[in-house]
This record gives sequence, C-alpha cells and structure tokens, in this order.
Amino acid sequence: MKEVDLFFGPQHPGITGNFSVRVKIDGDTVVKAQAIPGFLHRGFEKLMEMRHWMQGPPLICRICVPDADHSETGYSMAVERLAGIEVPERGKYIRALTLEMSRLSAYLFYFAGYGGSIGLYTIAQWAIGDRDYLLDLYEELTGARVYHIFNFPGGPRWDTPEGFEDRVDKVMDYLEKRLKEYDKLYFNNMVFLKRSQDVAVMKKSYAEKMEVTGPNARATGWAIDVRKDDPYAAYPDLDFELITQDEGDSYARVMQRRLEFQQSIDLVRQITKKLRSMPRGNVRLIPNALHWKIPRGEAYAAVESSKGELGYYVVSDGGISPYRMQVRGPSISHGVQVYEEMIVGQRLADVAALMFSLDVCPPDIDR
Amino acid sequence: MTIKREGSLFSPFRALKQLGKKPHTVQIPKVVKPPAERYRGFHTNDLEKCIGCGNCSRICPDNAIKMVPFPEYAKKEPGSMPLRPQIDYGRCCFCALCVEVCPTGSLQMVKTFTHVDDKKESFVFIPDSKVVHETPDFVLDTKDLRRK
Ligand code: SF4
Ligand code: SF4
Repeated sequence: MKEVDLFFGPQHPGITGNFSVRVKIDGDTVVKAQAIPGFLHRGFEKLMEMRHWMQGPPLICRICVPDADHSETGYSMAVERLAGIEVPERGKYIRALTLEMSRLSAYLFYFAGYGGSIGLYTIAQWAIGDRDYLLDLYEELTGARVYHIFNFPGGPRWDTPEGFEDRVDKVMDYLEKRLKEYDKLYFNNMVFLKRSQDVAVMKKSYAEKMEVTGPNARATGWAIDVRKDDPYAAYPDLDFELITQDEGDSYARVMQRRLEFQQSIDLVRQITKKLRSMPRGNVRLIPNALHWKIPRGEAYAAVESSKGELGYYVVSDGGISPYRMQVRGPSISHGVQVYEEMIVGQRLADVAALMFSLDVCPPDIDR
Repeated sequence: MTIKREGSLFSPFRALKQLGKKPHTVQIPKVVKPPAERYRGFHTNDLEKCIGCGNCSRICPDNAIKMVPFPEYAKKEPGSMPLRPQIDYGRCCFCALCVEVCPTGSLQMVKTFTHVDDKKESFVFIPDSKVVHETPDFVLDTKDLRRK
C-alpha cells in the first residue's frame, strides 16, 4: 500500500501543546515517526544568565505549565546547594505541600488529556473542573493560580494563611471521593481498557537504557523516584512506599498515575497534619535580592516532577547572576527518543494517545 | 503491584448521576467569585511615601518598570529622588518582586486584575494610591469593546 506522510500538530488538538510529529503511515499503521520540537523555544537557559539569582523563579516556572512548582523548586534547590543555605523546617513542609498539590493538579490534567485522546470527553471536563479546586488553594496560598512564583531560593515566600490546612484537607476529601467516581466512569471503562491494554509496551531494560524516569519508569517495574533516592524538602520525614507495576503498557502508565494520585492525597494529609502541629513563623531566608552573590562553583539538584526527574544544573562565577544554567527535563527522553521508537507499529489513532500516555511536556524539551 | 484488568460497557452511564448536581462554574456577572486575599493584581503606590530609590525597577525581571521624573517631589529629605515608577502592564508578569524589595512599603498589589482597552498606551501608567478599576471589573458592557 502507498505510504503517506502525516503531520500531527502543532495545532492538532490531540497533541500536548506546541509540538509536532511527522508520521509515515501504511494503511493505518505507523511505520516511521519523527518528533519536531522547537515551537516553544524561548531560550530559558540563556535568559537565566541575564537575571539575578532571585529573578529566576518568575521565568523558570514557565518550563512546565501544568507543574510549575517543581521547576521553581528544582532551580531554588540547586541555588541553595551552591550558596550553602538551608530552608527553615516549616518552609520545607510548605514547599512539599505545594509540590504534592502540583503533582495532583498535573495528574488531573493528565487524566483529562488521556481521556480526551481516546474520546472520553466527560472525564476531561471532570478533571479540569476538579483541578480548579486545587488552583483555588494555590490562589489563597501564593496569590496566583497557574504560575505561582512562590518557591524561591531560601524557601517559600509566605507562611500558610490562617485555617489553610483545614481547607486543604477538605479539598483532599473531595478529591478522594471523586477518585471513586473516576474509577467507575473512567478506569473501569471498557473503552479505556481496550484502547490502552498492550499498547506501546515498555520493558524495564528499555526504560533503563533510554533514561525514562518518573511514573513511566515505575510502570515498567523500575523503582526509581528522586523523592526516595535523593530526598529533598520534607520528603525524608514523610511515610510513603514506592508504587510499581510490571506491565509497562499504556494501561499501566495511566493506572500508575491513578495509584500515585491516591498516594499524593495521603502525603498532603501527612503534611497538613505536621503543619498544624508546628509553630508558625520563619519559612524563608531572605538574602538581599539585588546584591546577592553566590560563591564560585556548580551544583545539580533534581526533583521528582509529575513527569519524571527534573534537574537543574547551575554554575556560578561568583557574580549576581548564574554563569550557566541547564535543565534536565524528563520530556526530552519521553517525547523525542522513546516516542519516536514506540509509536512505530502502533495505529494512527494511538499517535495522540501515546503522546498523552507518556505525559510529554514540550516546553521542557525546548526550554 | 498487579491490577486486575476489567472494564464495563455500562460505565459511561454512570456520568448520568452527575445530572442535577451543582456545577463547578459560577454565572458571571450574576455571581462574582472574589479573588483571594493574597491575589497579585495591579499595583498601588503611595507617591508621598515612595522615595524614588528605583529598587523596584532594578529587581523587575521583565523590565516593566521605568522611573519617570516627578519634579514636585524634588524637595524631599536627602536620599530621596524626584522619580516615581511607571509600570508597563504589557510586560509585567505580576511576580511581586518589586513589592518585596520596596524599602518604604509604598508599592503594594491589589486584587483587581482586569483591564480592557484597544489603545496600547493605556497599559502603561504610573500607579498611585487609587486602586485601578475598583468598580467590579468583571461586568463588561460589550458596547465599550466595539471599535469606534
Ligand atoms: S516604589 Fe518603593 S522601591 Fe520603587 S522607587 Fe518607590 S520606594 Fe523605591
Ligand atoms: S510585579 Fe514583577 S514583573 Fe510586574 S512590575 Fe513588579 S517586578 Fe516587574
């Protein structure tokens, strides 16, 4: 049969943002694919060299839109390591709270995206609607809904408002209740099962070879998680076990997020409980933002974002701005290298679905 | 962990249970959801209290602040400058770094955040103590949006 070249994206609704894939199809089977990133290149890494250390977070949060706090925190941690400063105890817990809430809202986006890509639009509406309750909490804590600009080198900007922990717990109760409804409508849906089972199976050895991280790696049975391997913020004190599965197909990848969603709710509850019992007060060390110089050296810090390991490597020449900053984003492996290989042999209808199932975030490829 | 894989054909009908439940959304403009206490919207600046030091303009990551001359404040105490910040809201990302470094506390942020105009110049102004668009800025008369 004649082979046809098709462009998927960057405007296609089934693609995760400004990103494009060129697929060669034979009938409706993909025989070759080429990822075309670059539509979102805003030069984050270079722009950082022109900013003071404290001017980083307002820019860096834009590297991953649905999961902004992990970017801010990764950068802040690298700067803290370089400057040799320690965040106050309560600040660490507030930081962990924003990170787990960010993971929850990113997973809701994921459920919406994957549901939409296989035609289950109801779940897309539900998840985006429920995510707004988390954004309300963010608005109350940080003053902004999407780009929170809240985690700075030295700690989070502000302490929690009065009674905030109770409101967080209320939203967690709500999300837990909703998760049961999601189970009925979505995760036990025959359409979801048939569309995701045995699609694009990833083996553990392959995941290791391609540096797959995050829930995608854990869905293949590889137990890696930066929160456990190099604990940061309040994670050393939190009680949780890594969840892994062995199947590594699209079904396992979606269910991995479903299981970790519940785990994040539990983690948030642990954090709010601890925050209630802690004395209020200092959450952040504030160096002079305008003249803060950081000793010469280099540091790397990574966080476990909702998509995988998100690392920041910063170099200082002793000045008021980074000499160089580099981002290690999870999506460059998932969205370009892995995707191009795994889509071969799949059907055309899975081009968008696989993109969502791997949870690709194009800005962190382009940065 | 191994999950028992099963699916039901009836699962889509469960969505019907949601009919009649309260929606997530509110009906603007009949119902207005107020922004949170810490919401970062437009700035206000107490021009009497401000000393024109320019810290705000130096910290702004987006170069949104320009210090403009205000000769009437020239007579103030030593150390103060006859300058006041002018903000370009086409560039501002509402990060509040300027508010954080303001040594006098004159620069603040308020909860209002909507501004609609077809002239780009209107997005650049010198904030003073008056809150921009204090009236509910959610209720827009569509007639105003039409081009003259
Ligand atoms: S607003 Fe504050 S930081 Fe800006 S010039 Fe006035 S006193 Fe200085
Ligand atoms: S809020 Fe941020 S971007 Fe806006 S004027 Fe202040 S420092 Fe600049």
